[in-house]
Amino acid sequence: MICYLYEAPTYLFFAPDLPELLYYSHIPTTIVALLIGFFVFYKGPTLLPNRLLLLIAIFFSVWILVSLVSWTNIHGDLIAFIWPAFAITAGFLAVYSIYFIYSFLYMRDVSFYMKLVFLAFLVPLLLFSVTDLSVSGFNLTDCDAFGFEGTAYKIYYTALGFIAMGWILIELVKNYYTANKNLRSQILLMGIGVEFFLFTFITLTFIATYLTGLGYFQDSRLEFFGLFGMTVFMAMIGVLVVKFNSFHVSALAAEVIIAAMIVLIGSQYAYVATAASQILTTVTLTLTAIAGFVLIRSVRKEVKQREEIEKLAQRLEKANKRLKVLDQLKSEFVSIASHQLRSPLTSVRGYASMLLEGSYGKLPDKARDAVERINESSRMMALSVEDYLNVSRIQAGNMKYVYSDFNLADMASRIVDDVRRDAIKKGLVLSFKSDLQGRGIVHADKGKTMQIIHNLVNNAIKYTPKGTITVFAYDKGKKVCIDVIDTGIGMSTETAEHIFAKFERAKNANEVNVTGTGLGLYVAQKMAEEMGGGVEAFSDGEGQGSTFRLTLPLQM
Amino acid sequence: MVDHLKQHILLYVLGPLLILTVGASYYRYMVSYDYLVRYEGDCDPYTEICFQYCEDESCNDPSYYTWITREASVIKANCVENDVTLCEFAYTCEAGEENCTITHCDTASDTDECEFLEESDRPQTEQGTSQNEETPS
Repeated sequence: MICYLYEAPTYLFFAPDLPELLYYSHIPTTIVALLIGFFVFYKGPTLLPNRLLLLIAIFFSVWILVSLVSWTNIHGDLIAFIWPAFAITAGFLAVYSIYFIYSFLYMRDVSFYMKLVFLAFLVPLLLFSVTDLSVSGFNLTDCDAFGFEGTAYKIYYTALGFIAMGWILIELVKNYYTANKNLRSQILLMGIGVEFFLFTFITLTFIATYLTGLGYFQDSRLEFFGLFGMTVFMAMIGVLVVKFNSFHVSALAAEVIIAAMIVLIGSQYAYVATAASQILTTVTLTLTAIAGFVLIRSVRKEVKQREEIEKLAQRLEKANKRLKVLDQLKSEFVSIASHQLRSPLTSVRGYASMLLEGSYGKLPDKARDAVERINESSRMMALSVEDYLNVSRIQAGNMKYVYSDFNLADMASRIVDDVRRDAIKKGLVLSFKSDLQGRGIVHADKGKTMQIIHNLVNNAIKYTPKGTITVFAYDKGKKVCIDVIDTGIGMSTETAEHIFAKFERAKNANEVNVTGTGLGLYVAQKMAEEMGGGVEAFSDGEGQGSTFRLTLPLQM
Repeated sequence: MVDHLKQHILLYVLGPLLILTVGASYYRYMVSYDYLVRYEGDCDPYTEICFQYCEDESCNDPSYYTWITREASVIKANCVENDVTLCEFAYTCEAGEENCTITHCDTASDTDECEFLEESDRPQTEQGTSQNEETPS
C-alpha cells in the first residue's frame, strides 16, 4: 500500500521536506543512549543494573527506529506492521525503568512475585498488539495509523508510563530518607534523570499522537521534544559514572566530555544543508576526535600513575602499621626481659659491694680485683637495663613525670662535681661555667633532668680520650641551656642527624667505648621533649669534638 | 531448575511472546493484508457534499474529496503496485463488499470543511463541457 502523496525515502529513512527537528531529535539521542548503554554494559556485563540500562537503551532505539521509518517511509503495509511497536516499546520502557530503579537501589534482583506483576503489565500489551484494539487500519493519505489506533490500548500503555513514574518516585523517596549523604546524591541524580525522561517521553508522545489522531494536529511533531528526555537521563547516568563510579564503572570526565562533544558536533549533520557547512562540520568533527583521543590518552596515563601511587601509599601504610605492631611487641619483650634481669643484677651488685666493703672479711688482692670488675660490669649492665626499660616506657606512653621548680645550673654544677673523679681518672679536665643572666629556674621532672645531664656528661667522658669537657649553663630567650662541650671523637654531619635514633651510635664510637647500647641519647631526647625542651648535637666532624645541648623552658 | 526458571521468567515468557507477536503482526499486515486502508476518493462538489482542501488561506484552487475505507487485501488483489492512484477499482465499492465505505462530508459535524456548489456556479469551458465530466486524477 503506497502513501501516494509522499516521495520514497533513501536509505530506509532519509526523505526530503521533513520537519528539521526530526533527525536532530532522533539520531543524536539514540547514539547517546546506545553509547552509554553499551559502555556501561561492557564495563560490567554481569551486573543487573548495567544489563537493564542497556535494555532500556535498546527499547528506546527501537522506538526511534520505528518512528523514523514511520515518518519517512511510504509503504503503508510496512508502517502498519511496525506501528504496534510504538506501544510495545513504550510499555517495556516504563516497566523496565521500574525494574532498573529497583536493581539500582537495592543492588539485587527483584522478587519472583514482582516479576509476575511486570508480566501482568506486559503480556496484555503484547497479546493485544496484533488485534484491532491496537491498530485496525492505515491512512494512505496522511501515511499514518493515528486514526486507527484503539483508544483503550493507547490509554493502557500510557497508563503504564504514569504507573512507572509514580512507582519509581515512591521508591526513590523511600530510599532517599534512609540513605547516607553519598547515596542521596546518587538517588537524586538518578531520580531527576529517569523521571524527566519518562515524563517527557510518555506525556508528549501521548499528547502528540492522541491529538493528531483526533485531528487537532496535522502530524505528531510535538513528540520530538519528548525524546530529549533520554539525553537528560543519559547525562545523569554519565555524572553518576564519573562522580560516583556507579554501575561499578570508572570513567574519566574527559572521556565523557569528548564523547558528548563528538555526538553534539556529529548531530549537526542532521540539519546542515550546504556542502560547505558539511565540510566544515566534518573538519571540526575530525579535529575534535583527534584532539580528544590525545587528551584522553594523556589523562588516562596520569590517572594510571596516580592510582599506582595511591596503591603504593596504601601498601606503605599497611607496612607501617605492621612495623608499629612489631615495634610494640619488641618493646614489650624488652620490657619483660629487662625486668627479669634487673632483680638478679641488684643482688649481684649488692653482694659485690658488700664483698668490697669487707662484710665477709678482707679480700685477697687478686679476689678484690675480680670483684671490682664484677661490680663495675654489673653497674654498666644495670644502666643498660634501665635504658631498655625507659625505651619501653616511652614507647608505651607509661613514663611518669613529676614536675617541680628547680635551678638547672645548680643541678648541672652538682653533677659535674659528682662525676669529676671519673674524668680525672681518664686524665680529663672537667669544668663548669655559668653565664646565666636570671635565676635559671625551670619547671620539669628533677630526676629525669638529672638523668639527662648525667647521660650527656658521662657520654662526653666516655667518648673523649683526652682534653677537656666543659659544662656551660646560660639562658637563651625564655629557655635555659646546658651545653656539654668536649674535645672528643666528634661525629660527621650524617651521624649527627641520626644520633638520637634508637640503637644508633657514631661509627667511630666503638673505637673508644664498646659498652654503649645506643639508647641513652634517644631516651634523653624523648624525656627532654616531653618536658617541653630538647636535646641537640653539634660537631665540626670526626675528631673535632662535640657539643650536646639540653634546653628546657624557663619557669615564668 | 525451578529457581532458574523463576529467576529468568521475564525472559522465558516475554522473549517467545515477543517473537510470536512480531510474527503474527508480520503475517497480518505484510502477508494477509488484514487491515483497513483509508484514502481520498474523487468527489464532485456540484453533485455531492465534499471535503474541501485548500493549499492556502485564500483557497483559490481548492480540491474536493471523499474518504474511502476498505480492506487492504481487496486493494492488494485488484490494484497493481498497491497504489490506489493507479487503480480505478480503488474508488468504488463492489456490490456486497464488506468494510467498504465512502464517506462524504457531514455538514452537521464538518461544516468548516464541507463544500457543495450550485450548478450555476460551474465554470464553462470553451467547448461547453463542464469540469465534472473530466476524469479525475
